[in-house]
Amino acid sequence: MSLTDDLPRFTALSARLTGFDEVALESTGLTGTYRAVAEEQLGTERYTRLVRELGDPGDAMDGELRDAARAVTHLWYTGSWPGPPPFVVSPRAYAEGLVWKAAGLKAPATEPGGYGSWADGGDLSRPGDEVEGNGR
Amino acid sequence: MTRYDVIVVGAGVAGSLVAHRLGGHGRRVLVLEAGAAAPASHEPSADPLTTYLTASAKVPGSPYRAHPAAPWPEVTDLSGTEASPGFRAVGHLRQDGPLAYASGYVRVNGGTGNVWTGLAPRMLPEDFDTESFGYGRRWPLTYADLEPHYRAAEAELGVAADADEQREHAGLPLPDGYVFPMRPLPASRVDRLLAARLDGRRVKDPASSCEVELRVVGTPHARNGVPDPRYDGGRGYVPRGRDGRPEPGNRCVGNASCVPHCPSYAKYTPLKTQGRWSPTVTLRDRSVVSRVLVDGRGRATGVEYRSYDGQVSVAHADVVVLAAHAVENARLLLLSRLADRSGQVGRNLMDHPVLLTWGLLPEDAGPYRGPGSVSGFEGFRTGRARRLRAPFRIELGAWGWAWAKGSVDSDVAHFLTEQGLFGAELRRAVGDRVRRQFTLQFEMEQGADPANRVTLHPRERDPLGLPRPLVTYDLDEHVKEGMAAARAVSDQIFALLDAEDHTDYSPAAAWPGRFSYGGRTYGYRGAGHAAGTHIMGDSAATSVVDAWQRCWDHPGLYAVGCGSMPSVATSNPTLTMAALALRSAERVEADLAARDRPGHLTPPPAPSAPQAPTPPSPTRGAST
Ligand SMILES: Cc1cc2nc3c(=O)[nH]c(=O)nc-3n(C[C@H](O)[C@H](O)[C@H](O)COP(=O)(O)OP(=O)(O)OC[C@H]3O[C@@H](n4cnc5c(N)ncnc54)[C@H](O)[C@@H]3O)c2cc1C
Ligand code: SF4
Repeated sequence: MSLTDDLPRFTALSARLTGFDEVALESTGLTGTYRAVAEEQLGTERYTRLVRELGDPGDAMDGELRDAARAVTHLWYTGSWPGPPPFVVSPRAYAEGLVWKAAGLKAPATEPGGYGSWADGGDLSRPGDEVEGNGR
Repeated sequence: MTRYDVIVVGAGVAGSLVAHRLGGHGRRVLVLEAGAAAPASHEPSADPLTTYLTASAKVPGSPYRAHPAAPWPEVTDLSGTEASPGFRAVGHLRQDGPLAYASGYVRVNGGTGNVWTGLAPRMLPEDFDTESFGYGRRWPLTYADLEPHYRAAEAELGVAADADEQREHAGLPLPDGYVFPMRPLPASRVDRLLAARLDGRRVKDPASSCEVELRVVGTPHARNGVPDPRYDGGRGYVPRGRDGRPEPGNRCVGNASCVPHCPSYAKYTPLKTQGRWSPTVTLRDRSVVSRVLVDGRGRATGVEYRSYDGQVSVAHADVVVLAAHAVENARLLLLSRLADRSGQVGRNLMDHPVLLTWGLLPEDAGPYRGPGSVSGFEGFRTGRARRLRAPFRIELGAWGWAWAKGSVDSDVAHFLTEQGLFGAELRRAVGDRVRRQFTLQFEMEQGADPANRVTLHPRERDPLGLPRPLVTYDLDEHVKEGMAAARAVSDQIFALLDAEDHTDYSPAAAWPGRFSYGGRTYGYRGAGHAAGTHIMGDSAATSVVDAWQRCWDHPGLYAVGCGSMPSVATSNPTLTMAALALRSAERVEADLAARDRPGHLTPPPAPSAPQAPTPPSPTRGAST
């Protein structure tokens, strides 16, 4: 199997594992990189089984496949392969970690929001609460 | 060989400031720095930001790579164990005490001051004498003695704070009309949430049985905010950017990575001071000082230092200032067998052991967007309760559970591995978890105790052949009582907030600092605030340095840094240390001026009491 052929399969698999759609994943610019990391770290055989056999991640998976699926999901969410030993793929991978997107945040040191941005975040009130903040 | 007026050992916060002041007086200053200033030609030239971003463990030293010849202790050198003594220490700093000394430091040019958080509160007047509360050691100087130097330090570090708020809610007697260089930083979302729910509410301190009113108070920051036009009698203040260059528009933009690296150079680092050094200051990096040299009468004459390949050199000067960090200063004095008439060198090691409690707010806490902590609760720092338990300052942590649990990677791993989630469920769970996280950081005062100490390891040596530092450390009842009170306060705060408490000091491996007390388990981290190893006092029999940070028996030898502090109290210590360093620089300058005066053949007698005339203080903001 050639390296590029199964990229769409890898992306589709990644979308099912992560809960982010293929457009969102492709916009990170990392699908090809992560595909390569996954194959290298899992070994071609396990990698191939993963992209071929995994229909729904909730389906009964054997232990080996489940671990592989977790590793790939972890990679997408954090930009690092879980190891052992763990490693960060690249500064870009760190910045694109889906964990930050899931929380509506930016990875620290990558896309600062500007002076005072840490104060924002919408309404502070809960029903029945009077809100003043401390005004600064 | 060039003859220098002053040799400064270590180019961290303290050393960089001393060199700056003396260079400003035209003094020839040689700064010997163990760490690297820049990568050598054969080394990878990664900048600190890239190195940090690609580090698996985003620990304080992660923007740098240690050279084996100048190693430093990293938090990952410590791990917890189930068996006694409950922890294991490997690497540069070895330990043999009952509990873990949980703090590290960094040996690159700029020192630990590269990676610090940048919180810069003053100490309170009562902090200078904890003996009246029945613990610790009294300072040989008072808050009033240090006050002008605090102002000078706030100018050098560029501090953003609100004078009225500091007066009213932190209890600082700031002079009338004083304004900080920059306006206070805007409160973070979690600060505003907690202020809205908690300001004016009362919680019970179980140690004193008193009720304490809660109020969220902004912390002074050594990071760029909006300059205050009223500063310095209306002259204002110009924020400094990279390498200390004036950059009027430089601001903290919320990178949320102050520890260990600020990509926008809004946070103060010693490199900003170095950028303003006069041409009479020379930095020699990759130079590990191994011994202080003295003449037959004990007067300092210079130092011996080693390059990374082990080659030994010597440099001479009239004054030697040790500014190598509390642990390394003590190590150097011990290696030199100097200044130990009192037997106190290396003793009285203090830190702020930090009790962390963490949980989930019912709503979005807005984590990971600004400085690590913007505000705190100041109500547990003062007063009679100090007799019964260690006082503490509560920092509101704004970086989720990062300090307690490591990076968000552990949240992802939790839902993936322990809960078996994938897809939309995973995305929802992770997002919700991270957004609602907050942490309370209780920084405990630890009193000076001679049993907590740095010695030279009897066998272990670093690659240059120098004995490694060995630490013996414990927490006394006073601190443990403080942690118990802190946990009780935390429980009440969580209840008032309707917050879910997730505090759990397990697994053991992740908590090298851990003990049981009164049937409850407590885990603590080290704040990185090493102090007390060359303690200051008013007698040569009981202290290592005098009120000017001069080693008692060695004219011309100073040991500056937090190591001189007789108490760390509850303030992050660096601003106080900077004030002391600037004050000592004036003393050094006065010594050198006396030397240069025609007809003065012998050094002037050392002013013995702290009441000796103070050299003129710098005017507010006069530093350039
Ligand atoms: C993660 C972290 C966060 C912190 N946050 C805060 C905060 O918010 N507020 C606060 O007040 N404090 C904070 N601190 C503490 C603060 O960093 C220190 O108080 C401060 O850096 C000490 O300054 P120093 O100049 O004494 O030592 P350092 O900054 O450590 O500098 C010492 C220098 O000496 C050099 N050196 C060491 N040995 C030798 C030798 N043998 N020969 C030559 N050179 C040598 C080192 O390489 C280094 O450059 C924090 C510390 C850490 C670790
Ligand atoms: S929050 Fe960001 S910009 Fe501000 S000081 Fe910290 S690292 Fe620098």
